[in-house]
Amino acid sequence: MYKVNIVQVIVIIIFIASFLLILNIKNNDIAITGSGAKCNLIKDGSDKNTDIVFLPYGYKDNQRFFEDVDSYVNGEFGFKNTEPFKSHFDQLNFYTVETADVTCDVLDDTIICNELESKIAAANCPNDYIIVLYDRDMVKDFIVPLRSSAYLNLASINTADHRLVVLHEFAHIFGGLADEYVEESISMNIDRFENCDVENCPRWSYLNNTGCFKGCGEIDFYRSIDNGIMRNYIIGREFGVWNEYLLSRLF
Amino acid sequence: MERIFIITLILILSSGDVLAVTDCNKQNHLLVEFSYEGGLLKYLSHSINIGCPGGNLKQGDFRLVLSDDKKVIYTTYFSDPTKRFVDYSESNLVFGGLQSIENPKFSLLIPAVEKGKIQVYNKDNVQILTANIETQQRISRALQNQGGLFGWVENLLGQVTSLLKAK
Repeated sequence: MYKVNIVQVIVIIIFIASFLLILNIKNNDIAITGSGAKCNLIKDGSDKNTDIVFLPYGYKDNQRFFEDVDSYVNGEFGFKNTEPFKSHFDQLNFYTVETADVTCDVLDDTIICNELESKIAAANCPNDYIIVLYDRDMVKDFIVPLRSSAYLNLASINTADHRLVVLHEFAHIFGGLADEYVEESISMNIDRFENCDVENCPRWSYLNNTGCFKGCGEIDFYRSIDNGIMRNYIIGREFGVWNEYLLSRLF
Repeated sequence: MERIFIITLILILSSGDVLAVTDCNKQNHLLVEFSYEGGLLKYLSHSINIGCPGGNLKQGDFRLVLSDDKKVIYTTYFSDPTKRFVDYSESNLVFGGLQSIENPKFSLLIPAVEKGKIQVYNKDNVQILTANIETQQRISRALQNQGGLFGWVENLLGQVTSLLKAK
């Protein structure tokens, strides 16, 4: 009978372990590198998917950055638990580049992260949309609140603000939705922003569970939900039926 | 048993190749820079870089089409580069608005081509920009190295065979 000695057993164990290690790495973290920076796959979706890359700015430790990303992805106010992203969660991929070399400035109390640097860093991962998390102290932000911003496919986020600010900014860059609060500085072309409408709201009046509330960017335009995430992400917890439709059709 | 040992070693050493199936480090993109001045979109420059290109975004004010002589290679949308949304909350209210940016410069990451044409259309489907792209650097080497899983298996078998022959 064939005798198996201890060396052979060890070699076989190492062989199996290496196979499992490779499969595990392939299916979970690490995965991708590019131009020197490591890309971490946080959550993998289906083949037909949208790739979202989180980049850090001002974090003293990576653990805190990963906790924030986890909160924005899987938390109560994250993609996983807010419609319409909840229903399309399997079509979303999330990545991080923890060593991203991105600079952010504060201009007129607004966080503006360098667009070119952000894109170069995000290119280490499959990238459709980029979210830079600007680590901001709550106390400092209470004294001087900074604005998050959304520009092209880049969102620059003040982490001291409410968690839903990420979905609010993402709805700007992903869905092209306008702010639904009224600001004097806002002058907008109603044709461009489908979440606002003229009187009587012909765009969504046929839909159940929608309203027609005055004020959507400008005072004379109308919105479909009284206090949705695009109007007030402190009070509002949902985008509303019409906005969910506008976002869902892009998946 | 020696063969198993050799294969194990090769698996460990070449695990990086397996991971490279979706490796952006083995892809190239074109970084194309534009400006928007006086209502006119202008192409400024392009460079070829390592990394994944941006995806095919489905909404925006402008549509970019990259094509070669025969076909459309890539299409994406981008928003009005002169507008930036800004938001902050205070006392349970949200403020902010839409900032205007004068003469912005911005960039897009598109798939790398050796020779192609970029066309940009506005919301009315009117072409507002066309630019011919030619990259000096050959990009094929990196693409050949991708190989995929079959390429990796092929390489693995080649390495095993050569090691066994050497023994």
